[in-house]
Amino acid sequence: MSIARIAVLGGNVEAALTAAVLARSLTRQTEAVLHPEAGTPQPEPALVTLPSYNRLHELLSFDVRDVLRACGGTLRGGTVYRRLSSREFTTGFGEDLPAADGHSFHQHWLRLHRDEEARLWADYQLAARLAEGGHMPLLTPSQEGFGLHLDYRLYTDFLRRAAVHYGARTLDSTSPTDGDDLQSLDADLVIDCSERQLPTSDPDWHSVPGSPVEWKEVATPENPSATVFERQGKEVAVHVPLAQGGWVGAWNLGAAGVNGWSEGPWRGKVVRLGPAACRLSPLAGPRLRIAQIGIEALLKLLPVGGPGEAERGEYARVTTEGYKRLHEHEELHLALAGELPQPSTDVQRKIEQFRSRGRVVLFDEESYTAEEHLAVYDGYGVVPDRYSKALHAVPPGVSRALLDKQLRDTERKLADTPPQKQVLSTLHRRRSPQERPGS
Amino acid sequence: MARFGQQVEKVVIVGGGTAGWMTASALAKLLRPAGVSITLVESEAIGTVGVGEATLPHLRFFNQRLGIDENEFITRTEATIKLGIEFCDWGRIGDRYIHPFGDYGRSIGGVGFHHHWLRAFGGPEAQRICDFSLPVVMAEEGRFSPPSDDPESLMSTFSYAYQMDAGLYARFLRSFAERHGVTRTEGRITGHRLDPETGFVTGLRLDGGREVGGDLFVDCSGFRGLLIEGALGAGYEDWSGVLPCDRAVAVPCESTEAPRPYTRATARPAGWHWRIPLQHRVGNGYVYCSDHLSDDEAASDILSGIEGAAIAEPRFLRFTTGRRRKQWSKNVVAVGLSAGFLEPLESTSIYLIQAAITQLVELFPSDGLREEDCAEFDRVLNLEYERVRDFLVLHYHATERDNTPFWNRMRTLSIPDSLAEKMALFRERGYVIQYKDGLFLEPSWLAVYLGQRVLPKAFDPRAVRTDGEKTKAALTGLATEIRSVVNTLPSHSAYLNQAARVAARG
Ligand SMILES: Cc1cc2nc3c(=O)[nH]c(=O)nc-3n(C[C@H](O)[C@H](O)[C@H](O)COP(=O)(O)OP(=O)(O)OC[C@H]3O[C@@H](n4cnc5c(N)ncnc54)[C@H](O)[C@@H]3O)c2cc1C
Repeated sequence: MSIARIAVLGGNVEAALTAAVLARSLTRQTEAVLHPEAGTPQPEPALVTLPSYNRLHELLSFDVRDVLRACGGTLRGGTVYRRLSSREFTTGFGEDLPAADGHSFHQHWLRLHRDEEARLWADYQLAARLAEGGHMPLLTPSQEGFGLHLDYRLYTDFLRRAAVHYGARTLDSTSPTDGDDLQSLDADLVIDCSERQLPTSDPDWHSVPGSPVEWKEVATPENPSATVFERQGKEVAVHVPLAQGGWVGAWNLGAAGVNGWSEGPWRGKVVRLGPAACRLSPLAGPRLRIAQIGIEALLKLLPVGGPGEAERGEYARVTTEGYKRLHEHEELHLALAGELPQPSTDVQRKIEQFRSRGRVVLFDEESYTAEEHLAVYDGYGVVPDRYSKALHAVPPGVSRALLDKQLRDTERKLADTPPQKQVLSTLHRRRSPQERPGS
Repeated sequence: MARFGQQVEKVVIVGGGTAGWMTASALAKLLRPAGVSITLVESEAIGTVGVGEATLPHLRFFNQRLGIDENEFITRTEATIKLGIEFCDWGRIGDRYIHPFGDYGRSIGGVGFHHHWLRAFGGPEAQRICDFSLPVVMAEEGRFSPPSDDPESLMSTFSYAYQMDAGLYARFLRSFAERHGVTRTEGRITGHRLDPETGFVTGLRLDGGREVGGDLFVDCSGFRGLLIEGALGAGYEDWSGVLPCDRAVAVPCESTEAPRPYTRATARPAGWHWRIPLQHRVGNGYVYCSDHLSDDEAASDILSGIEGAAIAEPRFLRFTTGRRRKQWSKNVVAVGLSAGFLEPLESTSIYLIQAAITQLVELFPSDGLREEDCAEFDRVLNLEYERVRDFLVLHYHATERDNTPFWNRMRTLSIPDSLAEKMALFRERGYVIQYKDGLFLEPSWLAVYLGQRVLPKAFDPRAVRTDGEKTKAALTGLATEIRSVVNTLPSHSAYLNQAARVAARG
């Protein structure tokens, strides 16, 4: 092992997460040192995750119940979109829906949907129904398939404690300041998670339109199971429900500022991660997803003593592809909402193919599943011109029976699932004996 | 008048080789019941390319989708089971390894198995990674039983394909397709008709003055590319700069032993030999580069290398590696050799036919042809071709052979950047680049890298978090378990006999 010390810069959640994950993944021969005073953290009061983020919790041996209890969190089944389209719609986290006669559920749905015989796509997805109705199943340690809403400050503290528990050190006094050259820091590898550098000053920065988010607290969020995006004129607000209250962040669609990502996120021994590498609007994806893309790529590419060129190139390839796909998700929403006349070629292809025949095009490093894409197209009222010709050979009754059964099964499961508020109140009453990370 | 937007009710397939009959069968099964009529035109006088015997596991799913009974298929095509490909003399003369259809061990603590193997044993000198692959050990021991669906079982860690008689497969599919309503027209195509305004193909002219009209034409005419190139001039992207082999000579021979459940590819002075054991004969051939070897030299080399008596005269084939610039142009879709050719080192051609058919069915322009269908088809197929190309080039480039001008050329070739990056990452740290799409996954890349002496200088540092001694003991236990599972399986021949008995019972 050629790295003895890794410095992780930032007082934000990304730095705490990175320090915890590194400390957990490496032996004690490598010291992870967290510099929480570096940079100027711009915390968002509430955080959101996608189901794939649970992989990091699993790596950290976190039980999701402990996370929820310690971080004022709720479980997230999906997202509700209001006034972005002509109707309110929900995207639920994906699940494998049953096929029939060699054709996917989605082809059967398209067929009936075109003839207005099918309900909304989300009606057939349990996660979407749970999200809409504020329900949530009883918790399992990993709670696979669901995302989370978390209190930023509590979760950052939780991660810092986990980092220390796994052997990371916190160093406040000698943290680098904004003007310091990070290459000369006393560490073999520097993970820069800070918000210290203005993206526009960076020649590698790929700019995309964006504008700052203003947060305000709300006392009682209506639904703990869904993140809600709501449009009002040129403003979009994201509602993040927490166990106690919640937060609303609003930003302007008019894009007064700059977002984007670094196309050279690893130079010398400095690796950019989280907000130092990429900033996107909440509609593109949660900031923890941005951090996750960087951390998962970094873990597989930690220096092993070689020149490092190949690693730096691969880190840039994987992360920039991931950031670009996230950004395209925002473009997809805006294009379908009529707010973006000229989306990127890949987004145009996605829309064109869905319009043409309900085909869901996915590229490498996508963050959202085919089911989530489908729910978005459906939510904006895109009705494909046709469906698979091969399905014409299957009697329509087969499609109807498949959809009816899925609807019944979904409704039965929904009826058996308690409201999340009830689940959370039981959870908060029963504190686990070892309520500490990594136990 | 044929144009974009036109309804497609009549499909004409040009050519009756493997590509033509696979396309006809799939369209007959999946689209004909939906009202699409299908005609296939072929010429017995011209014949087919007559090779293409080793396949990939995907073919099983193709057959299953058509509802073809596996035992009947094995019996009618004289097929054997294929668990992988044995590569001989590629890294150095005397080297051998099997590229299996299956995994090596299982990841531990989220870190790939091969990192733990590297840490425990330092490399193949101490313990072959092949010993942790069930299909490799099955292949070496000549045993076979189908995989299990239970993910906990060792028997779930592999897949399998077939080695089959391509002529018999085409005949088998022909009877399937005809039973499902495909009309076969015998005749030599002498020309085509184009719509003067749109340039779309509207019909074929056959010898004797007959004409066959259609809405959509699937060009399965082989290397000729009668329509895609001959009528529409789609253009060809020549990849012989990185894959310069351009000739092959094929010679089947009698079997001298029970068929082995794997194909063999042996590196030779100016290319490589294939050996594909079927139930009653062995397919052999030499793929070579005409800059470095004459046809006569190639024929005498393969004839001296075969095990049994030759049962046909050597048959010579010429090709240019590459792909058609547009695989779907106007109302012509190229499938098979007319779409492109990558040499058969990893048996990818039939897979590429299948990939094209899958896309054609998904993008079938029932309610009218659209340009976006063509573009999407090309995007998906282009990616498939490119990713296969890089994998094939790796075999030639990752070599220490320096005994002939051909190998010196291949070893020092300038390779695509995409491959150079992949190799650098593996050399530095055993990292295998992964994509969402693409045929060859991590175990395949590992097989070739490690089998051809591309050894990582380091392994993933996260592997050292596990207790080294315990991990090593667990790995040794796994190798022992694999051997003992394999010893309980029937022999490959016994399995084939059983398939024949079941097929005979109907
Ligand atoms: C040396 C070699 C080894 C190979 N090994 C493998 C392998 O192991 N595995 C694998 O997957 N693939 C392999 N392939 C590729 C494989 O053989 C082909 O992909 C497969 O056979 C499909 O060929 P095809 O149907 O496209 O063309 P062909 O078999 O050439 O068929 C063309 C058809 O078009 C018809 N035709 C052409 N012109 C006319 C005309 N004017 N009028 C009427 N009909 C016409 C012909 O009669 C014929 O029916 C190999 C190829 C080569 C060259």
